[in-house]
Amino acid sequence: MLSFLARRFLALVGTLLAASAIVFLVLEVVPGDPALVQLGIDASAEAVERRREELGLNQPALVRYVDWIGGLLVLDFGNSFTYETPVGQLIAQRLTVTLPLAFLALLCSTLIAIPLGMFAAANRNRFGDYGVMTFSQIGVAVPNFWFGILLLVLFAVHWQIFNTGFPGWDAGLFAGLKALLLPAAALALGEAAILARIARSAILETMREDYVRTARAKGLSRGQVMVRHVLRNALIPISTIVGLQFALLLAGSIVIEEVFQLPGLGKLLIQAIGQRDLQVIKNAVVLIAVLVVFVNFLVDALYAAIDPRPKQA
Amino acid sequence: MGTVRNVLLASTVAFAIGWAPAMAKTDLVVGMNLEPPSLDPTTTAAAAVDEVTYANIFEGLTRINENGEILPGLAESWDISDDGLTITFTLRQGIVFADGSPFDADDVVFSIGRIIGADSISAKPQLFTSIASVDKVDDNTVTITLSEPNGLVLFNLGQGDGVIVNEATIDEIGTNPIGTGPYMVGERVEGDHITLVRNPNYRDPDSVYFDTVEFRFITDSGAMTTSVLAGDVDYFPNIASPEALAAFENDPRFEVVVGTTEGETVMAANWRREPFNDPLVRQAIMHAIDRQGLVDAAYFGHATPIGTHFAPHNPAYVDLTGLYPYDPDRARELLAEAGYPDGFSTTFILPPPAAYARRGGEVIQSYLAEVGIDAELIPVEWAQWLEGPFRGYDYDLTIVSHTEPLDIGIYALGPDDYYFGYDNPTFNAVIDELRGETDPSARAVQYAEAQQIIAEDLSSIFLFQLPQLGVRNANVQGVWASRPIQANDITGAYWEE
Repeated sequence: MLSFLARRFLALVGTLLAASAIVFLVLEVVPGDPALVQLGIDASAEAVERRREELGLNQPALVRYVDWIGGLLVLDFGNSFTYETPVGQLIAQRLTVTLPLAFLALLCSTLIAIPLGMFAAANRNRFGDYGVMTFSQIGVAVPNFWFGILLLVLFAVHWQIFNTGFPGWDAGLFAGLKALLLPAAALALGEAAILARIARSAILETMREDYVRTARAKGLSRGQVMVRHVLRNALIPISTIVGLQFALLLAGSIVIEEVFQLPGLGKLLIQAIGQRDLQVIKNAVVLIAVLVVFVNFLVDALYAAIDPRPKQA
Repeated sequence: MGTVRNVLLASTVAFAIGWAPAMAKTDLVVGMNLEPPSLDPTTTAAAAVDEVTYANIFEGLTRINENGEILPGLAESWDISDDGLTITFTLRQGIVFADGSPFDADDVVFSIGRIIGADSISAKPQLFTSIASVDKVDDNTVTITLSEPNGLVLFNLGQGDGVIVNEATIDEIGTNPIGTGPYMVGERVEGDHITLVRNPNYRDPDSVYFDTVEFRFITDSGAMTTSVLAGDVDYFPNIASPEALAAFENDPRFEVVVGTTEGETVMAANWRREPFNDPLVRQAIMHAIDRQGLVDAAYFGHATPIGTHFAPHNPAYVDLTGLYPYDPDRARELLAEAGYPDGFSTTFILPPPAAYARRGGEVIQSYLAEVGIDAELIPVEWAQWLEGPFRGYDYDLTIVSHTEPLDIGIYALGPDDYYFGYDNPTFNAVIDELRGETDPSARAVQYAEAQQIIAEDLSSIFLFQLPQLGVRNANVQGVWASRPIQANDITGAYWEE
């Protein structure tokens, strides 16, 4: 177990180093001067040059990269070019929106998909199965931003029972969760559709196993077999997909936060790219990489709990 | 009977949920497309900074109103010497900054001092180059000495770049600006909103209507429309979705006011490159474009075509749209005369603003195609646009709206210092004269002359004046319809009951 975790940890560090180098190089190549973007077309050339100097953009690239990595090691992310406030603080504030959004979406998609998958598998090639598969087809086909706009138009504009934007957690847990519900639903639809298909086939696969027949022969009911034997074994492929989906949900939140105008990490990142706020972009990208790697690490650890076999290997 | 019972029921329910009748609202949510990067209007040229802070947080010696008139601001009066070189300002008394420190002549000397001279830290030092010095006479009197007479100095001192700042808190002006206006920053969530609260030390507390004014930044044009329709934003001074205006106009809950801005939308045709350095080709391009058709398609009719680089609502404006009117046949003739009987191919770089640049660009492309000019559209991000066409002078055709007030002088910056590449000594001389002229009627004559020269030369391909598409809750009153300077002055706004 320990060496398993240690290997995973090394992989994590390697991934992060690679991610940091790639994002830094890409930002070096992409055209656009942060100082000019910030000051605008009416600014004088001298004012722009002064700003470049203030932002440290006139230093050699290698010096800036080493400075950045050195800062990361002591969790100092520097100041945002645009807002002049610490990047760490900005990102932390944004995570209080994006992480709950992603988890809520993950929860929604899992809670919808697994029962649907079980239902479809239990009713294989019958009417209920076709219904679930049709839902799944539609869910995969509908782009989540379009579904988000549809939800907004219905619930916020037409019925006016939801608001646009995010009131902040200061407004209360309920108000905050309410504001995240529509975007989470928009994000969850596509993921739930995929997950339902995976769950269905994983369950069908497991149902063909000998031990399931044995369990039935021992006299357990269909329901008991389903929960105790089938679902537990089917959870291994399902949890792999759920872990991968977390990364997709983080990526999807970039678009959805823009549609719902939520002040999350995705919206911050889009704005930072438009503004060439290099300090925010590179740290946010590395952070997203950390999150994805960490969640996959958790999933790997979870396997060990669900299925004891990898430990001994 | 049923009706009476329903009314009783309704009022009981209303009472039960604590629905007090018609309580005056004391907050306002204002929507903006772009977010201010910093909150210091003096060192940042981004329009969004002025749009949040001007008049609401910071005030200048003079004050510009909705009609572009110069009114007293922190100076209650001023006196200009006969040679036009010395302006003596008498300051208002009893004014206190939001942090409680008193305002006097020292603050003026400090604030003006940091934006003039060789080490000016202004983002637009060109607004104040004629100011040689600023001196305190006594606590309530300040003189500004000019190196040459300047007809625009009082106007420029009334813009966001010339506001009076507080020396004690200058280090944090970008994040926590302290001014003399009725509001100060209460909360700022970067990327989402800035909430202004009352300045407890404001000189006239009874005139401050709102307890909080939230500026909410909405980048997506669909989300802008939704936020107003859903009632989450009360007032959008300039909504970037002209396609949605009809929906608001047909809904009695909303009021749509189309005003004007200082934004001349022009297509730059690079003077440094062939064939655009040929006047015949420039004329052909202008003849090829139906400006009214462009405005109808890109702005749903809500904009005014222009024939020169000047705002149509300005009294000195000359309508020169008839100089090279829409005439595709004439355009083809001119192209043939210039040696391009079959037209030519070129590229057209489009910055992000969807309404004028992207949609406008497509419309222009089809007009150009009519006369044989094949323009390939290249959409770019704003940062790329600044780097390529604007600073690198690397473009054939591009489109942008110049939103700075009275900025016809940008055509005198010369080919080495500005992206147009235009250079006409006669025009430069007129701009030089204008700089030294303070008599309004003489200025109007010179402005007319300047407009005429660039219109004939087609220093740019002049398209239309950018409109201000204001959408608001029908009960919000007292806001500006037009914007003579970059500002969302909400100090006169209120809820109608």
